[in-house]
Amino acid sequence: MIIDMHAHLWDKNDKKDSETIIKVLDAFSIDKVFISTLQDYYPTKEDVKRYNKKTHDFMMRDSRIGGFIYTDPVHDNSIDVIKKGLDEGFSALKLWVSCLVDDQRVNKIAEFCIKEKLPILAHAFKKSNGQLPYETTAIHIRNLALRYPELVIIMAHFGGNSYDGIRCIEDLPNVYSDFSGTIFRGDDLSYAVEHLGAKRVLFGTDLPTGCLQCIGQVEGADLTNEQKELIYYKNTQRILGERV
Amino acid sequence: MIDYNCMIGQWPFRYLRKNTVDDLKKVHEKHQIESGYVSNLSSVFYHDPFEGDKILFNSIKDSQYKMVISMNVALPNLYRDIKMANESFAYEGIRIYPSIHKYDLKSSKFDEFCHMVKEANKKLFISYRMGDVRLDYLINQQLPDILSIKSIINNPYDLELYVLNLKAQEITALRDELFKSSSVFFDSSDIKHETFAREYLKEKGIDEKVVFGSFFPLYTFESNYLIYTKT
Repeated sequence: MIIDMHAHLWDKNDKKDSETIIKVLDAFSIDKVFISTLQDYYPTKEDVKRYNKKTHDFMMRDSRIGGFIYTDPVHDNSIDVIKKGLDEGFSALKLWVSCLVDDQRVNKIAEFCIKEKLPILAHAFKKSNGQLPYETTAIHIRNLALRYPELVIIMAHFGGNSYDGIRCIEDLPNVYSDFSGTIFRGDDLSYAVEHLGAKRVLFGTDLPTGCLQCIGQVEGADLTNEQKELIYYKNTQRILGERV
Repeated sequence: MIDYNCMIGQWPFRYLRKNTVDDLKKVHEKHQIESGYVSNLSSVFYHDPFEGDKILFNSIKDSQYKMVISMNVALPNLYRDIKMANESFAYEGIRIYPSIHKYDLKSSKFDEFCHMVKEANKKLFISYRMGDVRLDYLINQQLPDILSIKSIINNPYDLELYVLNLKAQEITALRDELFKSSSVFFDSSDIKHETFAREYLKEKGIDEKVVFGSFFPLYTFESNYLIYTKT
């Protein structure tokens, strides 16, 4: 069984993206995928509303599609957006690049998520060039996790550069990580499992951009079948609970 | 199937768990890869790349692998290096790393180098990138101008040429030039950005120019194998 807990529709390309995702589910035996819809780095409230509607429409189309609510901490309605998403059957929250994840404006979201037992999937990417102004890196994840030890945080993409990201969260049991994206360096997954344990590593792809590179990483690492099962689906099942 | 982009040796920026000839053989045999063009990663960073190539030669002699020596075109006395390699090794090709060694592919020195490669009757492998530049550590790669790649694949030197680690969309962008020479190829090691990459390349009519390359050990072999065989 495989659950992909990190995928997207892009607002300007959602029809093609949804076709690609369905094709991937069929072709590569992925049982469930959780998506969020994104586009602008700094969206308006109307944009956010439209993104989440597209996610919800896709969820209604195919039972294999689950949704993560996208909200922008900068907006004064960010909690209302989450409440609406919960009513509509979304499973977790996605934060992206409009605001650093340790910004004070995230506090109210974190407190709401703790109350609702809602995990946060937070984009994190440390780049040697091209870093966006409010693009979270692992150190920001660390700050939020220390501030709210009860909050479940999933640091996306191993923080971009696993050797930077994993070290930052290693001692924080409330932080998990996924290896979604196009980076598939040899040893990244082995390094993460050595430092975090297989129970804190989740399978995600960042679809519609690629998928097999992520399956290849699991198959290429020296992992036991039990560790593979944890990574492929059991960790996501455990973290999302009944919302899976 | 042959792996046109595989390596052994050390990469100074992180610990590689599987980087020996035995590791390479093991993963190739598991996936029925018959052979590969192998270089030594260590040579990329040695001031005298020849030192790494001696190690490579001794590691793969009597194996199914074909040796590809590494050269830095910015270093002096390239002619001596090629002459020494000709005398010392049974090798098939020369691999260069302009993003790390940072020289201009339009320079007269590069032109002179290409003539030497032709004269030695060797294949030329050009590593366009050595992994995702966003993850560079200590050394920032300087990717060659894509226009310089364009002029090289016009192949004025009539070489057997392999351009490695281009993205699928970068290969597609060179489409008008791709078929001007029958001896110019690209490898599949960085075509990952298209979810159904081979299907994409077929639609663009350029799949036949793309050979399998794993970029082992810097990339996960299984990932590139799946991308090449299942998409």
